[in-house]
Amino acid sequence: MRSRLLALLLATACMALPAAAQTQSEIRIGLGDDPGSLDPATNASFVGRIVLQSACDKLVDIDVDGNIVPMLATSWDWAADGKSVTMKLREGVVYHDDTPFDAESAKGNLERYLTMQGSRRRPEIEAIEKVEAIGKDTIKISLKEPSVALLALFTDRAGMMVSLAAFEKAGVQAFANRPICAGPYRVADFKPQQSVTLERFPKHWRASAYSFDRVTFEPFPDSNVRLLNLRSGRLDLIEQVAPTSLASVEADPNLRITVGQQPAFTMIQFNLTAPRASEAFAKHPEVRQAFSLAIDRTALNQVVFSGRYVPGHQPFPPGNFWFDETSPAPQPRDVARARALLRQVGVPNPTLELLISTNSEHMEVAQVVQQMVAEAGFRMEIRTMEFIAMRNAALQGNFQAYMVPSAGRVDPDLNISLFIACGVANNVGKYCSQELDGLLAQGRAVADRNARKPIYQKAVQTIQRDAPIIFLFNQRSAFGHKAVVQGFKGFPDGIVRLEGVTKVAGR
Amino acid sequence: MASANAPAPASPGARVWRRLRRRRGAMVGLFVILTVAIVAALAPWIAPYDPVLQSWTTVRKPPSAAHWFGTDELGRDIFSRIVHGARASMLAGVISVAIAIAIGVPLGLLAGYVGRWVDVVISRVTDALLACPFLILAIALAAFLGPSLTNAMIAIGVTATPVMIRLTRGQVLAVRSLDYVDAATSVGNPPPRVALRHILPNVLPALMVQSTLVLASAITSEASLSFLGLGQQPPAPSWGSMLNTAQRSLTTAPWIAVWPGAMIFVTVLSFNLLGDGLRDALDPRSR
Repeated sequence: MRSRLLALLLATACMALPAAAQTQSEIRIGLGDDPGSLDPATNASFVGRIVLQSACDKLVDIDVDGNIVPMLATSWDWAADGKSVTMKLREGVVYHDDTPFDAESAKGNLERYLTMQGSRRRPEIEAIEKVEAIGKDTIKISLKEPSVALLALFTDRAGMMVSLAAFEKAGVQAFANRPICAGPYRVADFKPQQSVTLERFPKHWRASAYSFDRVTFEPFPDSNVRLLNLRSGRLDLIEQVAPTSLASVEADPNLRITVGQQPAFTMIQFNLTAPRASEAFAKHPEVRQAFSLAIDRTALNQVVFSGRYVPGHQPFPPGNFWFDETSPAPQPRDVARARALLRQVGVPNPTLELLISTNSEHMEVAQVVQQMVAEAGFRMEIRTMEFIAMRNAALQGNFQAYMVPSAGRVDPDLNISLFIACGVANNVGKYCSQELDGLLAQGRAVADRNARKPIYQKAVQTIQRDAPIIFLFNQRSAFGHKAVVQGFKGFPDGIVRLEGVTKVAGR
Repeated sequence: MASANAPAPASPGARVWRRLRRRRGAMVGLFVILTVAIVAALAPWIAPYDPVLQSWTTVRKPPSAAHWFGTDELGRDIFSRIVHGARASMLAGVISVAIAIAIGVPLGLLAGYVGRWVDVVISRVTDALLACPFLILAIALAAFLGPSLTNAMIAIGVTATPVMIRLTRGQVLAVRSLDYVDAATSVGNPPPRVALRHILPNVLPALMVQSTLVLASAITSEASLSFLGLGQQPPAPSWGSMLNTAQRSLTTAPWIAVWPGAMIFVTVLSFNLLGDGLRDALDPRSR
């Protein structure tokens, strides 16, 4: 009797297994880090944005060219003075707990970001003065001062809508592990430092555009390990393939590379305030210009990144809408002019200590720069620090110059003002130019992007003239995926979007 | 008369050397250590290239006649960097151990010989320091002092000190109750003289063995700290920092990681082999 029961169980299991495999399609994605909190209000990581993109729909999104397109808001109108925007919301949308998304909910969400303790969205959207719900499906957002960049922020976590009822019920901690949003997938399981599993949400307003029943994200901080897991078949898609590994992935017929075109950049920020600053660099813009002129960005890109990044010297890479074409890209190296500038201000051998993170890529960049600028007469030393310690040292002004990457923002204002406008937290070098701030304020007040462009060109030229920061290169995020994963596109914000992505042949 | 014809008794040093020579592992270890030490001392004359000079046209080239160990991610000669990196490793090992001995042995001697509250204070502080894992403590200290090879050596030395204190104290406690110490005290020798002339020399063998083992872990710690960016600062070479930058090219240019990895392995193994051999050779029970 017992053996018969066992046989029956085995037979049932054998029948059930292939059936489950056929109906359940899954994509496994390797991330560079653990996402941290999954509450859009408190999340602070780039990989967190990748996970949340599939779980939490936003008011607006971007298309593959970086244009802002409808998502939970179907249309919007800016007031003529740029101080308010009225957004029409999508009807019939429900959160993962079946509560409806409407104007009241959108208003409550924005207020939560502005008032919640520990909200990381507050500094981003503090230009908001008030939010009003007009009827069931319209909100009006009034601003303290004009800021068309607000919409770009709504394409990120500040625009993600969550069920406020679920947040109240779960509390801050539990909600950070299992947010209830209105995205195509709901968070089924989150094991910090291990995995995040998302399940299809059948009531999503565009459920049919998503082909996978299950999405699993796993963190693998080492890029080699991430790539090996892709090669072995454990993962279907990985982010941040190291530039030096790209050639080998391209040579593999089972793998594909998709490159994101985000306006990312890596810069050196100079400290312009005593007592810690290098005097020559703080006093003379010519010294900083000479430093920039002594760098051969093309060679740098070739040596360290096998030519896979863009050797730009603006916050936008060539080809990006906001790129200033009047300035040659890359800036040609001119050691003779650099030397002449140094002689002109009477400092032929300025010294500089460059603070960098222990990231091996940055260590290579710093050493190449060190050798290049030495030819112009600079005596540069390198100091390495763990990333968080480096950031803290920079925030405390305890540095002469430091190298830091930015993942890039789709709106030009956010790509400049967040680290160089007078008095902002990330402006660690304490550069302050009324001229630049004036241009940035002007740019924020204009909604038409063709009219905005000349303003940001002038802003970039001002930065290049004063050189409180210099741009070294524009990095590009490369995704590696199996050839069977089709329809995957690189977006300008470097985020994985699963809409329209499929795995062919049921594999 | 018979005693006059017998060979003169060998000195303790010669006896230890004779016993050590019989242990093949220890001799291999000693040979490797001496080689690395000579290479480190003569680095500028041995290295065929400048270890920090980049050559952007010969990036990530595999081993060849021109570059025996290949070139690294910035076109620098790996052999030259390994040779110069040996300096950082040997220096870190020797200086860290010297710091640990300079602080640890006097404190251990004091705790063991004086006893009472002095022993209680020193021993409890030692216990507290030993409760923290070696590398974690070294990382914390190095981070606190700021990143540089000198600070890394200080951090490693201070971290290795508690082991030296405890070992010295234990040995002193074992030796101080022996008859010859009582005799030295009873003939009127002052306590400092008893401690330094009669106790310390008998504690030395155990300290020598421990020093070789601490040297090995100091070299690993220096590599770990440099790997984490807390030791030798770029572009100066260190085996640890070389391993860090090699990470990026692990699949495409594995030789960049293999050489520094192999050197750390071989050097640390050699110190451990020598330490084991010394322990056996210094043990009066072994013949």
